[in-house]
Amino acid sequence: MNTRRITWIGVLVSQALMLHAVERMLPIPQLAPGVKLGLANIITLVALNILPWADAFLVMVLRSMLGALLGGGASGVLFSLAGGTLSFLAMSFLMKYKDILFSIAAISVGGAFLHNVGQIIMASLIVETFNIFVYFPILAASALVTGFFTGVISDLIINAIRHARLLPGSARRRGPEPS
Amino acid sequence: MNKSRYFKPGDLIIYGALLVIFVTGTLIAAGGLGEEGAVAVITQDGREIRRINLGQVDESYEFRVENAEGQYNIIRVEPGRIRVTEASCPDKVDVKQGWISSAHQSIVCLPNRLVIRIEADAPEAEDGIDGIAF
Amino acid sequence: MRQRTLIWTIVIGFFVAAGLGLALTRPRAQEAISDTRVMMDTSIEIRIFGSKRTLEAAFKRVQELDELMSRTRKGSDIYKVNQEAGRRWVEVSADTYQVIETALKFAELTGGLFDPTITPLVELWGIGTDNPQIPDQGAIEKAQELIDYRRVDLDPKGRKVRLAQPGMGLDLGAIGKGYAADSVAQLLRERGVKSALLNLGGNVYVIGGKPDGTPWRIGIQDPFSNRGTHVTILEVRDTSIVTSGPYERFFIRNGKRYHHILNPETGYPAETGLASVSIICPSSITGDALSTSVFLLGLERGLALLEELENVEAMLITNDRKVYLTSGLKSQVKSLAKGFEFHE
Repeated sequence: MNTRRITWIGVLVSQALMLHAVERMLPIPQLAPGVKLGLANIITLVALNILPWADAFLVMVLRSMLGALLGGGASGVLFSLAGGTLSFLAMSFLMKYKDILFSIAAISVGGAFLHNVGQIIMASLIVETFNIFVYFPILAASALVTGFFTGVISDLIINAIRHARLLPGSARRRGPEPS
Repeated sequence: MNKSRYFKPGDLIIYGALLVIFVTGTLIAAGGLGEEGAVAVITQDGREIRRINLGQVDESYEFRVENAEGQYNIIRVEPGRIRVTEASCPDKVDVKQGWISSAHQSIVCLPNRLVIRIEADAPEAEDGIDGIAF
Repeated sequence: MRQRTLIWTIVIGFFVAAGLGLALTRPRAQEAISDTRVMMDTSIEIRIFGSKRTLEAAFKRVQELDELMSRTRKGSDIYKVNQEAGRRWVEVSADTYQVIETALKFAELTGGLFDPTITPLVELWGIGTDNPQIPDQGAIEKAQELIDYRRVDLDPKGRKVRLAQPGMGLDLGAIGKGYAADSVAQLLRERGVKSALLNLGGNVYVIGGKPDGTPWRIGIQDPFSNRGTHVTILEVRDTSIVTSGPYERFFIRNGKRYHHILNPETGYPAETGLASVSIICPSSITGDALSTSVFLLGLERGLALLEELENVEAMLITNDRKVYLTSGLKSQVKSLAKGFEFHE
């Protein structure tokens, strides 16, 4: 691993934790288990766009783990990982067709929905008696709003990073700058 | 930043899928809620012998439950509620108790080891009592 | 290649760590689940906000205690102690030992009115069985001779119990449900349950408040009406409410009611002018023993005993429908069902 990639992973994970903390401070009522703004989804989207797949996955795992540990303790980790992994897999697949078939906003919406679904499935496994379907409509509706919002923000950030020529591998200190 | 930046043709698939999930999910949930009357569970000697969705009872009826020793209870079911109308037990606590209909309520006939209880997901009692110390 | 291996090692490691963390912390489910079963010769309702596994464990605990402390169940601690009365020491479980000790403490406190060696009288009357009867005076006097809590020998080191004379017998019926409630509550708390309601044959125990943050609303049985009718409602958290009254178990012969709370001094069901006694305190075994004790002591002596105790509140209802409250309850109980009035 070269230093630049490690740096990127570190920066993104810490940004995600920041967003976790910010989100917790926002006074948003909890509509249903699993429903939330999902600001940290921005980081997963950015990571998928600028990092190799494996690095992006690592970012997702680390931010899920640490975010849950900082937020609520060990029991939150499984919820967070279940949601994170499911949405990551879906988004990394959809990302292959980004700008050809799907906009980043729609990819983000899909990811947001599956993130919530992952958490709900985990909850149902643990609680045993749990009617998942009751929550699906709420999850779908909230994912549409929050996913679109985080998708647009991610796009702005990705563009900013591209313009600043900060991408690993592409930006070189020496040699001719591509313009 | 043009408009189509955040909208590509394939997006319709994703949004469409979510819409379908939203609609079907709502329908399933609404259907489930409609049926969610109180469910009465009748157990004898700890074994469940009958389960009645009181929300789906259209006409009232009675039936008789008998245990191995020939002791019996006659149970009456009406839309939304259930009671014991007759029993072979000496104290008749179960008969005197009358109707039950709300979450967590129960009728117990100790001598015949019969329990009728309303399941937890039924609507709560109107008087707002969670339990009674007797 | 090495990088991949590293990443996967980290990822798998995290999942394993998370799994362990989960197993150790046991996340709390927020579903309301409940069941009512016939155990301990009464109906046991357990309602928790938690998992089915926890609910099953709670019922299993009740079952265990029933198997230890039932007077009539062959092989129980109490059955063995009674069988060996006047003969051998019997080693009992820690649970049983503790309950016997507590029962003897209350026997001391009430000067023997509350007596766990009441068995000969209980068996003579047979109240709650299929054929209760009014015994003749001779049989009652004979039974009374066998009742004396001071003749229960305890060996704390070996956790052994012995009754001094054949024919004597322990009956923990007036205190066992209270102990079971405390014990189940402890089990639930250890498993992280923050909200629960137990009703062990009328002995109510609540953990926390309701999940929405409001207190539990517990009705006090109207002693003159059918099961489920209340005199008043108490809003409580983390406490036990135990009510004793003659209406719980009785039989009627020649137009007279004979109930299950027997007075060892008279040999007859206790007639003290009280219709029911409810004790509100954090320990259900205390509440259980006290409600019976106060009922046996009667209004004045009962209230005097209650005044001496701390952290105990009580509500006494007399046969003429007057309601007496301890000072701590007066601010809580504002209204009563029709026909009842506060004692001024």
